[in-house]
Amino acid sequence: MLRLDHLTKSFGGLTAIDDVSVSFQPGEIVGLIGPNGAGKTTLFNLITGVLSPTKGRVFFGERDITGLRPHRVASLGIGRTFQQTRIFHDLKVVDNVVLARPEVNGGLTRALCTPPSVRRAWAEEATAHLAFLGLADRAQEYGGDLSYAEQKLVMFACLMASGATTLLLDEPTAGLDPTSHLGMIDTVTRLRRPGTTIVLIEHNLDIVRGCCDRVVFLAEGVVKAVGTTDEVERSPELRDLYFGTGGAK
Amino acid sequence: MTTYIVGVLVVVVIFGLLAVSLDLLIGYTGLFTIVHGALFGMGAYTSAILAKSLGFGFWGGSLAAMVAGGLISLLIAIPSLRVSGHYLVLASFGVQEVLHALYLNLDGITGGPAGMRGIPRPRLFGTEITSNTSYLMLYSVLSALVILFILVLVRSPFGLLLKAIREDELVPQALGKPVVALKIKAFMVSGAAAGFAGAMYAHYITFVSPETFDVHASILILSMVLIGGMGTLWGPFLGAVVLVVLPEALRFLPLDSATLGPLRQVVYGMVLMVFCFVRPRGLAGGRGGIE
Amino acid sequence: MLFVQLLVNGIFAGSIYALLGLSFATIFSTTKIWHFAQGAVYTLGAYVILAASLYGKLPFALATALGIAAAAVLGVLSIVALYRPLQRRGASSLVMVMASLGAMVIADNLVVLGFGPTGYSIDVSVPATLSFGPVLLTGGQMVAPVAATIVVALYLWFLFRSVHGRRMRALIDNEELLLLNGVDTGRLKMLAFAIGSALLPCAAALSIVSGSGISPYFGIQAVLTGAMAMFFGGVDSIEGAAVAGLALGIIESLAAFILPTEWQTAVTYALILLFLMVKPTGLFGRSLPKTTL
Repeated sequence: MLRLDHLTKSFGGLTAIDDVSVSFQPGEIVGLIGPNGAGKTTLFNLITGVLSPTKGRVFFGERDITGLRPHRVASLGIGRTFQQTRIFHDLKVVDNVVLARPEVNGGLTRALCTPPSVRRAWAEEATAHLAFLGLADRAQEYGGDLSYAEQKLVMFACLMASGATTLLLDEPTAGLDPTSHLGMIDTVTRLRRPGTTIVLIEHNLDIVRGCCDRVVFLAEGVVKAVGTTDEVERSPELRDLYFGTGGAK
Repeated sequence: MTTYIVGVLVVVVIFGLLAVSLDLLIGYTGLFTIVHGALFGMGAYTSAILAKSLGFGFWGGSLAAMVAGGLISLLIAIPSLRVSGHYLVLASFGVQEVLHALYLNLDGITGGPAGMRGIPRPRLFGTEITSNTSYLMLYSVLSALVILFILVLVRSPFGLLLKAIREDELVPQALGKPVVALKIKAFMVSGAAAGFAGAMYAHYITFVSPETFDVHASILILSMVLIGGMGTLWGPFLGAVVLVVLPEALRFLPLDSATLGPLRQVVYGMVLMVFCFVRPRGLAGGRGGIE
Repeated sequence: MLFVQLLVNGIFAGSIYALLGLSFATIFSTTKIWHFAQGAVYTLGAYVILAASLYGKLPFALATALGIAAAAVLGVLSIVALYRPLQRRGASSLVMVMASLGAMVIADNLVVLGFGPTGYSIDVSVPATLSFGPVLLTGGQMVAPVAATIVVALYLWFLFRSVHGRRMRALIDNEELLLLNGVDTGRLKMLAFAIGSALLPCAAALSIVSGSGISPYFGIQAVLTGAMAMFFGGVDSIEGAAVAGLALGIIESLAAFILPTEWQTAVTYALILLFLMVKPTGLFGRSLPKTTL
């Protein structure tokens, strides 16, 4: 379970995140929505340790992970994707996924002593992850040769291989054409496992409606509402805020 | 004449290892440093000092040389890798100059500007290695072993991570990889290999002096990597061949030694600059830069 | 008092380092280029002063002026004939650094071929050595800080008061803004190279005046000292490099109080690197340079 406790982040005079307290339960898919500049990616950066909060704490299970460095946070099981696809163009797709495994961690002796049979098993598991996402036939190609949409799927395969139990997906449909969006609902829903929490930042409300159990509405760094997509959507004030029409603050 | 050529090949083998060790750092990990000349010297002086003051032979000395090279690398890496690539350039440059100054000034330990003579030759199964041919055979095997180790490393999951980090640091971090620790390890392996090359050098020439290990040496090794082709391992070895053999041709010109030294440097510099402009990917078609 | 003598020596060395720091900082902060070829510019500029004094029989001040002009030209040449063409070929910053190193090696060794490896010294008339009790103040040690202060003051006046100077400072972190305002940043960078390089013969002249000659191998030292001073002061603060250079000289000199002279430079650099590890922005810097190396 991921819990944010009175999280605040200020940059000089600007408060990007203001006293945000939210919990994410295992097994649920939560949408993080809000207008541009609301602080959604900043929130992800605070959770993953890319940024340190000015005030407040982040808890993962019982553990206070506030201010831990990104790779430490990730090794505890919190995985994230970035808005732009970031896979390794110079590596084969299957290697991209193998790399995500926790065993590939820079240990010299381990790296040198891994027998080829183990490495082959890793490659097979990686290919299985890729198959789950429909990319098995692209495994031997280089990351840079894949289409944008395919690269996004590789990112998910990497998350699966990393054994992350909490997935933070930053605008998974960014840059994809509308026909791929439905596919994304399907993919995200299939990523759901018991015990896995998925938080996704999304602008497309269809996607949010299609796969999220709950929605957190963030605007100007403040949590404006939490509830089901319908509840949040129906409220007229929130529609105004989201679309910037009428009486904003 | 053949002895001379074989002798040149011995030097090729030594510098080939040096170039490969630097390629691990620059070509695979993406870390630019200007300190390999001093690391080379660290290995040479460590082995020489242990030989002359404690009676160490080549084998003990080269082991110690590897440790010395690895330690200095660790010393540079730990602060630098937490800060930035620019800091690393500065720190490595600083250490290069400082070590060179120490080789020059610590007369009691290093023999000062005159250097140290009479470093013992290696002994293998009781026989002393004396002829250039036997040196070539021994050093080729040793060099090949270390290069093979680096090759295996680069092909292992460790190497996979290095390539990933070289391309994009953010994702490996987000996947839970200890990026800084990894770079430090790569640096240490690189430094240890350079130290080993230094020991080989010391026990071949049997004489070490500071000017062999100054910033020009670092630049020379960098040139070998660039000209050979970064990130290919065999490219920098080839670069070493070129930059060791080419200036040897200058020896046959009717010039005195005072002119020869600077002229060699000018040739190195010119070859380097030509490659920078015309073929930055080097002979082997390497990566040609971090980007 | 040994301490005061060391302080005096430190201030003298520091005034030269301040100029070296200003020089490197001017070029690096505005263009983010590791201008190792600066070592070559230093050496060539110094040898122009030498040639003009010894062979041209020119008075020292004129020879220095000639050196300054030569250095400025070489500086502009560096960006126009070396870095820009490489950038146009899509060279990475790593390749540019290598080419810069190559240029330095070529230039330094051409000088050795032309003038020999041993240094030269020029006799310049300076005030006689004064003594304050046990403390000696050589003529050079009196002239240097004064001259350096004048040069630094002039330069800072330019940096902060003139249009071009302020634009140059804006280059440090606002290049896009300048471009949007129609400023020719290309020309500005050439100016940075010209001025940064022009400071080098000033430093060389102070070295000569104090009696330590010039040698073809000091160029590398000049770059390293300048770079250390710049990082110490803060990469985005050109003026900080001057203060940092002075501090560097004083620290290095005072280190002799407790350490044998061989270890002075080593310990000074170690201290600075440790400091930078804790405060990477340096004494006066505000932000870190983007890592593209």
